Amino acid sequence: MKKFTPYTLLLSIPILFSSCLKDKCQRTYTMYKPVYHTTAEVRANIKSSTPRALERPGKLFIRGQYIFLNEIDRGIHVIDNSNPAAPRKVSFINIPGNIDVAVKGNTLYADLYNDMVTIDITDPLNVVAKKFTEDAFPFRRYTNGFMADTSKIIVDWIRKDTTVLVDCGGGGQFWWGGCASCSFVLQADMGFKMDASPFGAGVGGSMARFALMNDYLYTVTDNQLNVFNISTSIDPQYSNKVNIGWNIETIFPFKQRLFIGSNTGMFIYETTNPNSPSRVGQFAHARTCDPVIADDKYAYVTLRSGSACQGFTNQMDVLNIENITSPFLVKTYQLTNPHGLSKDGNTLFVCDGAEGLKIFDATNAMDIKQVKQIRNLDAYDVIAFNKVALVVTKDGLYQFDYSKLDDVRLLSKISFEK
Amino acid sequence: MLNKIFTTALFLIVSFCLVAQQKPEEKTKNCGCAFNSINQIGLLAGEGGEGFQIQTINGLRYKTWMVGAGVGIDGYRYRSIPLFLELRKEFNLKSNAFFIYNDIGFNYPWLKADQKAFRGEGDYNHGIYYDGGLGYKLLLKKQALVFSGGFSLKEFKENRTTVSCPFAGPCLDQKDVYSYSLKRLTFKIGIHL
Repeated sequence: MKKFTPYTLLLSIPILFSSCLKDKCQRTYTMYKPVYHTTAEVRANIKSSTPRALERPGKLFIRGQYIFLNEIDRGIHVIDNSNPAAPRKVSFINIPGNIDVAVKGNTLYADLYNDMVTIDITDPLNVVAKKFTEDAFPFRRYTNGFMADTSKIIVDWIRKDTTVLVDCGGGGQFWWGGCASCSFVLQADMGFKMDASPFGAGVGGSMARFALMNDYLYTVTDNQLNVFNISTSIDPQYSNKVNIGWNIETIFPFKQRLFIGSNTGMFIYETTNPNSPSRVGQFAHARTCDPVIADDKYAYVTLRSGSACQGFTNQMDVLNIENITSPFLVKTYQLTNPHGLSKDGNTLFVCDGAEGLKIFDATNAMDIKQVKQIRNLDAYDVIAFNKVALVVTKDGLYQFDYSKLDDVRLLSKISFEK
Repeated sequence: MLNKIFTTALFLIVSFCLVAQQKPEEKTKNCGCAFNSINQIGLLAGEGGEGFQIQTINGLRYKTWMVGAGVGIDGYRYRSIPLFLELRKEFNLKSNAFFIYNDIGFNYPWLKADQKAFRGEGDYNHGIYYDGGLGYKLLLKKQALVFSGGFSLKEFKENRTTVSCPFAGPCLDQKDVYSYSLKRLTFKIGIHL
């Protein structure tokens, strides 16, 4: 019998395992459960608080010596930039659901999910919320099928890694797996149900969806231009809405005109009647994302591919807008994956994704020449002002001195925490 | 990585085949060992349906025990390449006889295009491979026909990153890990040299 022991052992292994012929496939992913506070609690907490780490920067706004930098879905960092070589975070304004900001004088306007909050920033270290305009942005109430509990406000998310059994498939079946930021938790009050991300990319953090012009604040939704009268700055009054098309993305104010970017083209609106802007011109392009800026003669539109943009084009179009009713393409410049852009005089700054920040001499629109490229930055937004370029990248907020274009120098960097 | 596996496997197969061309009396080494090669095809059947398999195992035999290195192609659910060591016990060398075998090693995914998820990026990692069972050897003049059946397990993992790019701000990566543990019956027929 002893002779058979090794044979028995050899044969026992397959017999043991074969007792269950069931395939087992698992998926491990991260879920997020929303943390709700009441509206009263959230509003009471909109004030200057201790500075916090920068994690997911969004839009940038400069007023005087201060930078107001959006932390997507969380609020606004207030950064003292009186010395650009040594910027200091001085406070953080908690605004859940915030993705856009505009500042006029001592008043800051910010979205709080579907509401708008007006904040007195006379003392940036001690801000005061003055008014809440409810449902100013109704499209923010839900994202990709998720309807939040509207009696409360989501202020945070609890992260949990979880493992579930999935169908083993056998031929490309997992096409619903893992869509970062495409959905919130469904039925969140019932506990963990689905994977989700808290950061609302399905709504779209934006470059410039707010624009200030004289006594009016203009905001764009996916298909509308909303007009707020801010002649009394701390008491904005919703005054009008204008249907402007579909898939609207950005708005850029310039000399009594609003340049509105959509993913199918650029629209130009006159504000002769500021309460009711009217379309005077447009330029169509392929379906893609397109931030836009303008000067007296030209509009500069970057087009890029990417999952939110659904396009395949990566370029910058320069449009002649001297005849505002008929803008036309002057020239197209090929880029890698351009995002935000900014212009100071004849110097044009373009954030070209992983290619970094590109600086161009735009003296001649027909022959825009790259004069400098700052690599090793995954750049997506820039403001060039007073010889300092503030660049928002994937890993930090950089400031560059461009007073000498042949010697662009890094002044400072505030790193983002992952 | 796949190229390295193939190159190594091909080298081993060719080397062993060259050794196998020696005269029978030269095969016997000082240890009393002899070179053996088993090449077989077969079917895998489980919850996910059926799949085709092909294997070659080459190694040394000492008396009724054989140990060898094997490589194959496994077509059950997701195509993969098992690389394994085999231990085989035959109950008689001079006549038709039963044998028991156990294979243990690694399973390297080699998915076809239509087997990959079409959204996001997948990074596939190897897992364990096991095959064990019972068989019967039918002696021919110089070779033998081998029939075997048993249980087989293969595993692998997939790290999938879905990138979502909002209009402004950095792109967001969602990382999911998929683990696959596939159990099936195995049936093979082959030539034992």
